[in-house]
Amino acid sequence: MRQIVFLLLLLFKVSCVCAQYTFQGKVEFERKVNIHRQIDDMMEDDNKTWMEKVKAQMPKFNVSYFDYYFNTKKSLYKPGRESENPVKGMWGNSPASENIVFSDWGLGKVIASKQIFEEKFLVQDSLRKLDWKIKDEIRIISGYKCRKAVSIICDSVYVVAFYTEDIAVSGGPEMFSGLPGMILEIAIPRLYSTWIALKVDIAAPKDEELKIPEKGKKVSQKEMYDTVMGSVSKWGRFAHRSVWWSVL
Amino acid sequence: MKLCRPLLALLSFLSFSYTVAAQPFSIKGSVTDTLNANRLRFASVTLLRASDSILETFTRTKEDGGFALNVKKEGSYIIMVTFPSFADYIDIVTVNESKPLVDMGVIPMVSKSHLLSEFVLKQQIGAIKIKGDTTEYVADSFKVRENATVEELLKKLPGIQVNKNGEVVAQGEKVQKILVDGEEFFTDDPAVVTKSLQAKAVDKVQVFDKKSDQSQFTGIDDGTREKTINLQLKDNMKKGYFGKINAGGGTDGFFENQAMINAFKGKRKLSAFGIAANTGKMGLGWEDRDKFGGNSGSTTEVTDDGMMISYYSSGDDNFESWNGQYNGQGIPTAWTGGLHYSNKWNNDDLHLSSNYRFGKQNIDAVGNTLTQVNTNSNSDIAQYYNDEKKNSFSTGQRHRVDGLFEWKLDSTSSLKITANASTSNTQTTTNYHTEIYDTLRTRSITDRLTTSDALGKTVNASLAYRKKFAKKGRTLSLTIDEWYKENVSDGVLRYDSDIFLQSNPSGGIDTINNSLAQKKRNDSKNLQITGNISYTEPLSNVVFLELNYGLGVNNSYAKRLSFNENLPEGDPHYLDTLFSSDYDFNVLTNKGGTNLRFVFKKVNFSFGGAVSAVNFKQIDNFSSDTNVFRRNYTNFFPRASFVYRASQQKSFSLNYNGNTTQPTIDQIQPLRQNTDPNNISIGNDSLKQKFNHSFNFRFNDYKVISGTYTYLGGGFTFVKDDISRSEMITDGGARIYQYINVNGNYNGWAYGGYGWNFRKLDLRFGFNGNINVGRTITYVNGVRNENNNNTYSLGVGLNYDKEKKFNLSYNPRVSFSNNTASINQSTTNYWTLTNEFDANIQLPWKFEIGTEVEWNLRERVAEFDQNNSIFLWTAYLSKKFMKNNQLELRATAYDILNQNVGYRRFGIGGNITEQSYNTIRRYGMLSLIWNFTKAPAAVQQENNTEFKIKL
Repeated sequence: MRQIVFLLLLLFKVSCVCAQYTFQGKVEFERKVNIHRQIDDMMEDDNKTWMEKVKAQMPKFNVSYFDYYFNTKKSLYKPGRESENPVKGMWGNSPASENIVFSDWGLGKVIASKQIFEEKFLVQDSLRKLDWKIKDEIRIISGYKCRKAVSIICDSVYVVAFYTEDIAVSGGPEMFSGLPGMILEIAIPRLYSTWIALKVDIAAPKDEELKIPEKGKKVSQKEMYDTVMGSVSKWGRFAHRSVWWSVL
Repeated sequence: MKLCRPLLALLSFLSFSYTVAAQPFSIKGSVTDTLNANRLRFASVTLLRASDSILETFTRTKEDGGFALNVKKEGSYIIMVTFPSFADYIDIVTVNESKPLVDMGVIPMVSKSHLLSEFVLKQQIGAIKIKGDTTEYVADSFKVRENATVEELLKKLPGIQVNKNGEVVAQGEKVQKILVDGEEFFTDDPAVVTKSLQAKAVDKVQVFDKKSDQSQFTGIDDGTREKTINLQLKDNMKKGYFGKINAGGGTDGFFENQAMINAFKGKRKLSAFGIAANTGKMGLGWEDRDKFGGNSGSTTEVTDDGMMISYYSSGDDNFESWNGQYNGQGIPTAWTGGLHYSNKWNNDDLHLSSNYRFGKQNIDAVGNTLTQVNTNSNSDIAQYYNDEKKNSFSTGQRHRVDGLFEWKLDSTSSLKITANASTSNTQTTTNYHTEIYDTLRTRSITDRLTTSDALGKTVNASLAYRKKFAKKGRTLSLTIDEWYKENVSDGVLRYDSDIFLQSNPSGGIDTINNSLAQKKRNDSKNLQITGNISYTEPLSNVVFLELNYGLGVNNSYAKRLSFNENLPEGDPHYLDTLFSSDYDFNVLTNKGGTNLRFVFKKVNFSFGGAVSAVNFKQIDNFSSDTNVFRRNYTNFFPRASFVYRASQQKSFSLNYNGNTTQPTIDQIQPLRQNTDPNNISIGNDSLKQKFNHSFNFRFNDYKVISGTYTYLGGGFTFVKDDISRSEMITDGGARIYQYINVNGNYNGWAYGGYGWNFRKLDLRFGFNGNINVGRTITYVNGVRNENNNNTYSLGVGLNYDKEKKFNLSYNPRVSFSNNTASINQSTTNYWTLTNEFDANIQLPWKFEIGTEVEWNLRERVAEFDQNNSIFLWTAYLSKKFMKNNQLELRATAYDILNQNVGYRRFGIGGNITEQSYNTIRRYGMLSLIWNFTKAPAAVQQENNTEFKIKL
């Protein structure tokens, strides 16, 4: 089945080369969080034996899927199909891990609905501008030639992105955007997480697939950051991870 | 608190955006296909700062292939033009005041023609192996200096070059990815891996061409290859040890000494500990058990819905407890030691763990139990008191070995075998002095001595096989368990009692004297084997059916012999047949059950039950006729549960559990016992099974953002045909009791709490409440006695702490206890107030001072009017030394006011009992605590805070 899908994709790709550029469509992202390494991070001499036991019973990766609809005016990133084996409980859940992010390229605005613990926030802000360092590494993702770019969020958290100029929309998963093409892979080593495009479908998104999220407490990105930081500041090593997830 | 950098960047971007339009610097040009001379539309034009490759701006070419870019600052820029299936065009442009507008003219794009050259390694050296398309280097074969990094190692490997920027070229191609143990590390630079990892931690270096993720995923080769290096780490580099030594000596002969060490090398773990103390410390607590004990009794499970459950099952004796503290009455002196070994092989597929434990304990206990017994109000004197003084000494020692073997047969099935064996020897001597009296006279005085010298042996084993099938949710598990236990004990029973009877109305007293001196020998063996099979079948994505069946066999024998000490061994009455017995028991149990589970995203519910059929056979080896007693019975275990998990922090659950319990053989047909002449049991062969129905609920809501939490819980159990006691009180105050079925017994409880976290003030505040209600029905001298025992309590918690400065907490709690008994229309009400205060303060020069106060105020009741309020005050002063505060000197004063008494008060069956016993009181102790550790060869961090490899 997957091979057929891929062959179809290849056919699309051929037609793509004729049209040369993609301006609209849907990207399916697969997010993988390495739970074992998250657990390793929590390990100390005190709890090592116990943590090892927990680890032995957990799958290595927590996989979830997201759909990203885009055209040259706007885009919407939201949770996609259900994973076959979702990891439940504290290791499978980070705050803000099922976000809906709407970006308006014309107005330069982003509206993101984020469930952070008991509170649903509706972050309304300008599109995030990061300093991207462009590298010469090239990687093929879903048939697109992607270039590597690296940036930093929250003072010290590295973000590695692979973007393709062949998709002429400067979007990407979560609130990442602003590169000279579509971001098809994001890796955040400190969060042991990657977002990789599994397939790109070039059908034009329907209006209802680009619906602006409305629910949640309206805040700016900074207000949301301050609130979350204030709430978790005494959590030690959990604190930063929660905040990093929240700002993605 | 620092602001997130992107926000700052965003703000600065916004403030700049106004002036951007007015920028004087601009670069323009147009993009053309050189071969066909076509203008290329939508080509991507990207401008990077030449100094650091940071993206400055980008655009797309218009219909005519033209573009224009504005820049903020003068300087050199890298311009990068890309177009599908054309080679990238890269050039450097400089803009400055003298040349604010650069026209690049026509940018020619060249169609891509790329030749892939493959490098073939023909040479083969011992340290280099070629497997398929992978070249593998054995790291240790290449000498590098001590503490060298992986980069230095790579430089030594033939076919690999490292340039001054840390870029790695293998077999003529630039390495795109460096993996560690097969996992990709994303950093801005692969050199980070090679520079931060120590060469000696690397076992093998593998160089290969990795297919693209897409072709690995689809199985279709798209021809793309990335030169990749995988660094395989050595297991034994994860080597180190840690441990703790605590030596403490105190006033009045008190001591507490502990030493423990854990040495690990890779997956192998070797640990040992020893403890000697008379302060109540008798073993490793749960905190240390994981570190030094190998944790044989503890199990950790992750359930389907992600809950983690850890539980600890101790051996069947008193040598261990969950928190490592002695929980019983009296003063213990304990010596404990243990060894642990565990290892894992084959990528953790095989796991072996074993332990040896030794324990010795001496316990001195002196106690007094005073019970006010309320009987039938029609009787002449409705109330009397039972006052028992007890003095006992026991000494025991135990050896125990255990082992665990786990084998992951493949990714879907596993086998686990555990076994343990122990021997123990315990000697106990107990003296009792019991007086039974009422307001008018003393009814009886009994002195009693019991001794026992017991030898015990146990051998237990279990085997578990688990298999997960490819279909999600289909699982099979098989378990076989075996328990063997034998016990032999020799002892004596001596008593002497005077019973004072009112012989006539004029007040004359007759005294009856009873005395006994017997030797006791008890001998028992028990072998139990059970097998269980359980199977889960997914009926749909959300419905799961569980089926299980178990078969159990229990064969045992119990022999209790009493000998009259005052007769010679050959005397026909030397064996006291009345108080001797010899039985064999065979029990066969068949148990089958089913459960239907519905699993939705937020809601789970299940219902089902089990039925067990039990065949019970008892053979009396002493009597010749009708020596076989058989009973067949059926037990039911219905259950249902409902869980609603609104979020990770908020959940509600409701459970029902029902179970039937058969009367025990002792309740139907008790063995004649003479160990306590004031409590005599008689049988009831018309006793029916009882049926327990339990309901409970739980609600939790933790609001992280607002810092509040709410919890609520409760339960209610009622019993149909509960097995209760009917008592006849003799004139002398002795009780003759029989078990009977009653209806109307219940027990209910509820708790709840609410708390706030005032983060700005570092203050936490919460309150909580508890309710316990219970009704027990008994019969006293044939009269129904309804007892209600209700307790209500309310507590407040206050916590004020500043990290690394101080911590203060205060927890007062007030409780009200209300007990009524219908038999004498009596009501006993009393209040208790407990106050707990804890404080510790960090002082300069690594000094720390702390104190703990527990002040219990108990209202006196009419029946017991002595003062039972105590003020338990403990304080310590400590000083830490060495870097990382590894050494600590601590002076502790325990129970400074010397007020500690062991005390319990409870009401059962209309009777009120107060228990007091000896316990550890005031002492001072000076201890030296040394925590030592040697960590494994860590990775040098070299300011690469974003990157970390954990060994």
